[in-house]
Amino acid sequence: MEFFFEFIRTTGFYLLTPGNVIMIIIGAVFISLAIIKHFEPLLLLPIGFGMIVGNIPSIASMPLSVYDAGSVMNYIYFGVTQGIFPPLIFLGIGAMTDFSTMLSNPKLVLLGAAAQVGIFLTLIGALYIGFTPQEAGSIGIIGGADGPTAIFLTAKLAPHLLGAIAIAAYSYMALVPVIQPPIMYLLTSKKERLIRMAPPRVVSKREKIIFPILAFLISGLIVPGCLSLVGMLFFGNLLKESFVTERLAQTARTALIDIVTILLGLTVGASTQAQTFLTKQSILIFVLGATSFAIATAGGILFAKFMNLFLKEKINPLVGAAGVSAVPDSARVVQIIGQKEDPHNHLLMHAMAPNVAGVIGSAIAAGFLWSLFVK
Amino acid sequence: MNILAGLGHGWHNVHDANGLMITVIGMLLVFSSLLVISLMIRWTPYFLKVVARYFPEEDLALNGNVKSVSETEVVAAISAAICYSMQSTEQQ
Repeated sequence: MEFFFEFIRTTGFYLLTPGNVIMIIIGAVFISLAIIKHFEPLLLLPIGFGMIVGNIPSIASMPLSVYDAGSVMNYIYFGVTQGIFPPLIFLGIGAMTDFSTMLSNPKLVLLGAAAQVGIFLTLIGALYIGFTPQEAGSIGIIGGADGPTAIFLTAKLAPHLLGAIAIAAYSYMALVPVIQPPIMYLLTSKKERLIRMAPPRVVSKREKIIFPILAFLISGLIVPGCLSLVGMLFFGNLLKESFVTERLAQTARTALIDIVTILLGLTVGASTQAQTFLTKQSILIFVLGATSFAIATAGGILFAKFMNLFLKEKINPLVGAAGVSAVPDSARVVQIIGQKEDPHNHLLMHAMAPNVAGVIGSAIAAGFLWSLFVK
Repeated sequence: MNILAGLGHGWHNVHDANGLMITVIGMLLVFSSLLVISLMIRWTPYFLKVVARYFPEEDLALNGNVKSVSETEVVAAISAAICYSMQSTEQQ
């Protein structure tokens, strides 16, 4: 009988804490949002299930969780903590991204830079609150609206905040259609939202091939810290555009990115154990993350309005909101809001330019913060 | 509940960590990197025109380097052409 009671004491039911129950419920909510609302299902579903996995308690002598050395989950989590998965995701993103719209209208690239103001202003906010510079940098990068970048930088600077920051980054990416529209309406007039932009020019094949090489050289030489992210992004794009490595590009944008997304999502979710996740810091990170995202959106819109002061061919300021790098969700939101005002105004292709520029901009910002705060 | 209690918040943290300087330099770096990329994109076509005089651009698709174009890409191209055509008509 004693054996039976001993076994009972090792079950999850016995060890479950109220915190674990809350996290399991949050995981279920994530899964529901992915399935019912289609909010970033490729990310929220693995993360949601990972949250459930990570909050099943186990006895100390059994290595099961992502934090237990030697456990299966710990081996997979190694790809997160060592910053291996994010560059691989960037490789896949590069292999599926068409930079044509950006190449046809290079001034829109600057909107991707302006939107990064969210990262740095939030860094100041996080410092003010009392986070360390390393933590503040990791929190600020949520405003880049780029999950892999946020995970990469946090893994390097503040690994203890990885769960909270990754969940915040991906949650806000999923909530782009909810967060951005009010800011877009607030900062633009109806007249501005009705601005039509000239269709993009046709970009030659050579331009598309040369771009990833030169852009990598420029960003890599200015901020070497962004090499792993930007390098993989442009390498993936070169695989796509060169036309001679179609098989590799195909693998990078399908099987590879899918496998890495599954492993990353599941283990990041599993890292949100109640004991480490349900803290005052996590709440602050979520608040700062939302602020960062809102500032980034506003930064892009306001800079587009600023550029309009000097341009003959005006930019629709809504396009500036796509400067946050949630590709392609924020560009889609721009298209939807633009079409609400004028059903025949197609802003999607224009919004893709600052959108992909935002990916490069946030990776450069991450590289800068990494080189600055690395111990 | 004061969520900031015990965190030692204040502007001295920002000052001690050179927060404002990091923000200014960070934004300058991001802007300058993307500005240089933007200028590079702008000047590439002019450079390629010169190159094309000596090495004319070949149609990769005609040379058989491209095996096949997927159905999705064809649909995307047709949609883009219709969209472009509609915009041009309305502007006229």
